[in-house]
Amino acid sequence: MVNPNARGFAGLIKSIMEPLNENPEFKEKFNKLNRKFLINASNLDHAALISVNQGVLKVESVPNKPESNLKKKLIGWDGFISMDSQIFLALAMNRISIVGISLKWILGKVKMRGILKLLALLSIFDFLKK
Amino acid sequence: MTNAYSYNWCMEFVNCMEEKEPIPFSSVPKAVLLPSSTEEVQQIVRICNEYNIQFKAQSTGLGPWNQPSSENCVIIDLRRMNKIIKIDDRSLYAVVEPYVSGAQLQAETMKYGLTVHMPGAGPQVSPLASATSMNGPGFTSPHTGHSARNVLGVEWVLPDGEILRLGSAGMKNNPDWYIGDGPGPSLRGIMRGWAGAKSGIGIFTKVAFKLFPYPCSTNFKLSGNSPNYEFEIPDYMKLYVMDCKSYNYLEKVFLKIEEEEISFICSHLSGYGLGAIFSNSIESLMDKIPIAGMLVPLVVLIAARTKREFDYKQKVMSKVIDDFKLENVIGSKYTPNSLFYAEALRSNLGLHGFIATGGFQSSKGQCDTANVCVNTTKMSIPLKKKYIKRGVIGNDFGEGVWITSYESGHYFHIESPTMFDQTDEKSVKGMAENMEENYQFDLIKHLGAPFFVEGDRMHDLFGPEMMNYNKWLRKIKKAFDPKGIADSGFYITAK
Amino acid sequence: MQLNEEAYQTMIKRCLRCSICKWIPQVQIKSKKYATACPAIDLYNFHPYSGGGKIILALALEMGRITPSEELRDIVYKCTECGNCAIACKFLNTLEPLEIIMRLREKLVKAGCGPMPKQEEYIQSIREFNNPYNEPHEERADWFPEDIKIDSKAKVLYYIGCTSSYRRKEMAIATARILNAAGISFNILRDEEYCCGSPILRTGELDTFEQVLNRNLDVIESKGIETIIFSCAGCYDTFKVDYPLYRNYNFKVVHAVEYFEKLLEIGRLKLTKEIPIKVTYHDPCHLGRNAERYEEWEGDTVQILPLISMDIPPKPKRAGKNGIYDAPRNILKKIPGLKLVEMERIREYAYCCGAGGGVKAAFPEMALKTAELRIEEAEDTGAQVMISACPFCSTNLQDGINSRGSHLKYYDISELLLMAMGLDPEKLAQILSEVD
Repeated sequence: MVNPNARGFAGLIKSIMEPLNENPEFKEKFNKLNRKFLINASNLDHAALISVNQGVLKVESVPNKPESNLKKKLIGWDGFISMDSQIFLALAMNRISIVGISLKWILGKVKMRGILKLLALLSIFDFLKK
Repeated sequence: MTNAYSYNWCMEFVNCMEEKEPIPFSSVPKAVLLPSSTEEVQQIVRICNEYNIQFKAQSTGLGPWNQPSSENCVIIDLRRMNKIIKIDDRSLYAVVEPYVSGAQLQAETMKYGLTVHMPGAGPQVSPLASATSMNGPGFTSPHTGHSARNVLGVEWVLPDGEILRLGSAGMKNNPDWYIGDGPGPSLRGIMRGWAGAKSGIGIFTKVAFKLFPYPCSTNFKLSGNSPNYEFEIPDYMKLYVMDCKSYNYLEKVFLKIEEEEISFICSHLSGYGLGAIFSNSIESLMDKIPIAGMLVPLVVLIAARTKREFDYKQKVMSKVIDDFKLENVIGSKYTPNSLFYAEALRSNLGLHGFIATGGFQSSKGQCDTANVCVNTTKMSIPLKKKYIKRGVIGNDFGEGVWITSYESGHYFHIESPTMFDQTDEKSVKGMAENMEENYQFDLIKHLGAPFFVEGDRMHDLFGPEMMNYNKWLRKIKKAFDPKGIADSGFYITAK
Repeated sequence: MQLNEEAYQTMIKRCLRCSICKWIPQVQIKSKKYATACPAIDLYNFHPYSGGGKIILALALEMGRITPSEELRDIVYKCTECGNCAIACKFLNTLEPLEIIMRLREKLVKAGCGPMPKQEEYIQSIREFNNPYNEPHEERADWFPEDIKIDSKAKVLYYIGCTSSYRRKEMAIATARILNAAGISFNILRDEEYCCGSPILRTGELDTFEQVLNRNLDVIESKGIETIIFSCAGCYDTFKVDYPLYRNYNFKVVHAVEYFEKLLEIGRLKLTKEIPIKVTYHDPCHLGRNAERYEEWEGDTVQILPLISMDIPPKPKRAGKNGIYDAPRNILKKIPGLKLVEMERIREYAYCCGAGGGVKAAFPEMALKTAELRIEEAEDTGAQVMISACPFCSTNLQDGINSRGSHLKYYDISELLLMAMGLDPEKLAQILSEVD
């Protein structure tokens, strides 16, 4: 199910995020973090499973059809987020606020599980902007 | 042969706007002619007059404005007229024929420590075409101005075949090219106005235009292989990319920097546009996320020929940054490849607009004050977002514009590069609708004097809002081209 | 060629008509005179002759706006397939002008509108005589000097090629003598050597090419060859880049310049004689920008946003990066007393000699005029001698030198190397006398 050769959307996430491993500050900051996050672009294939373990980040892919592939008991993720790629882009480029995301969540356009755990993922994303 | 000449970039949505099939082909010309001299151009024009055949002149030929608007038209391809007539390094002007490209001219003027203005369309296009017949904004405009303002003497084959030389080029004794005006009425305004006549008022066979000091050392060394060359960045060049965070603030910062007269490049681009100028593919855009997320970025490139000049310019920028509490991300959050500097000097940045969808065109444009340009940007965002939501144009959050300045911030220009996919009919139709709605929007919102106004329909739309200029333009067309021989598809007819 | 029909149909709709294909990469332009990239449009001036112009014709053909005709054939075949348009285009774009032109030729051939008559003649000659020169196959290697040591059991093969065998024997002899001097045990195929098929491939006549390819590979594989050395850039490129698209093989392919560079590095060749001349080096298209293998790509093209697709991971871009540019230059720099001066258009944006793509046969005046343009560029460097590493470039450039009345001399790099090795004057004279 989990493919170490990150395909599709997961491949894109991999190309963006795995270079963080070359940043010693990243390794130091997330040295004690041991988490798995599944991020899914609902309009694209292959969700990205981001694992952070002792400051090392890895991205693998999970086929996202059928949706049942993405269940926690199958993948073992700690946090899950799913949205359209346009919303991901808006998030990555600071074009949507927390309020905006919350609204979309309420409207069902964004799905989140393990919200507290997802906060760590947000910190990781912040590192990309440095 | 003639089919190859009837194809051009953006013809798909231009056809759409004219309720024709959205294909990239215009009317097929009757013939294509390649004159090698002004006299041959004149002969062709006279024959056209005799047989009532229209002509459309083109040099490097990029864009739908090079296309014939009917089948009763010949294309006059000026490719064989490719000489640099003169470079005057004391009085700082060059005289060229139509098929000298910007890069070719810059390569030659660099030998004198000079450079030339090249339009945003790129260094492969004809500066003569830009100076005489098209708009002419450029990335290096703070230093090299605008094509409309740079044109000096001109040799012009009128639509009736008469040759007119403007300014000092027309003097009986000791003609030269330096002055484009004369004791009589200046014809430069009639010749091109702001946006040019796109061959609708004759053919320009020679033009003189201003040259400018090359901004830094002319040592232009590249190594490695295409497309990822390494460039030996000249001493005394520095790039600043700062997030102004709001358009109101951008206006203030822009005006201040330009008032100081220190920049070689000073442009606002959207976050996507910013990422694009540093990328040579959509894939390489991905590592630009640290900077592409900027809300209202301003790109400033300073360059100098001496350390003293450089120190001064840096001090000025430091003060501006401090006063406006900005942060330069270059060197901290992002360091561009050295090739960026080569492309900046060679004015090759505009072509990066194509990397996302393979097609783009500006859906609007104005030349006006900083305030109007910034307001145009803000007000156009919801309109653009409407089409983004439909999935017919590329997503730049509606912010996709290019604003650059001229003459120390005296005026600015804005255009709105809009990404579309020329192979997708839905996108082409959407782009056409977007263009139409932008025209209406500009009128209703009084968003300054537009510069993408071409053809009878557009001139008749905007004319009543602007002193009925369209009537005057028709009078000019009638006076210069009574038989309507110069193809007016992108100009105005004398109806 | 790697372009499948679906990619072809998409790409031909994407030309921007920006005319970048007519120029060398914009950032490489150093003067007005040497800014252009495309011999076809330089000589014929009408837009359809450019790379972009031919893409538009390909689209017009698919849309039924034009039909196969002599006019179309003339435009499409007046092209040396040098690939300079592709290098320029791919600076920012992702189109493949060269591959589109090659595919367009295939379509014309299938429609009975290609190749050109003179190309048909040489293709027929290849079918009958195994070479494009209408020369007897038996004479292919009968001139080979008997004092050059050949080892019929060697795992290294020197593939001479048609042009060296029939027109530029001096190059083949020079290459062979260098290999002998370095103590390299090598074999030649003699009358088992056949045309590599490059002249056929470039015309779009794929069926015959595939037959030629299979026969060549059958012969070579039957001999257990491990390495093939080529002195012809065209043969080298065809074996290295085009053959693997049809059939895999297990041997290594190297051009003589790569091999010689290595031999110099490890001391198997000693350059003892001073050659105090100023030379300039012409990069053959088939040794430089076109000699780049297609890399396997296993990824996905993902439409990440409406209208925006991305290759994940990024597809390798064939932009001439892996061509052979440094090896010949390193060799020249090692020759005592020799000064190398560069032309403005070099490496992946070098101007074509004018001979390739079947042009030498079909449009000799175009080939000659193009050569003259390149000779002028060489003259402007102040060099006394022009060097290259391809017998086809050699033939056409020497024709250009003669036609222009140029003072330049021309040598293949192998000849120059042999001189610098201090080959005794008798043997040198032999080389000259062995040339027809």
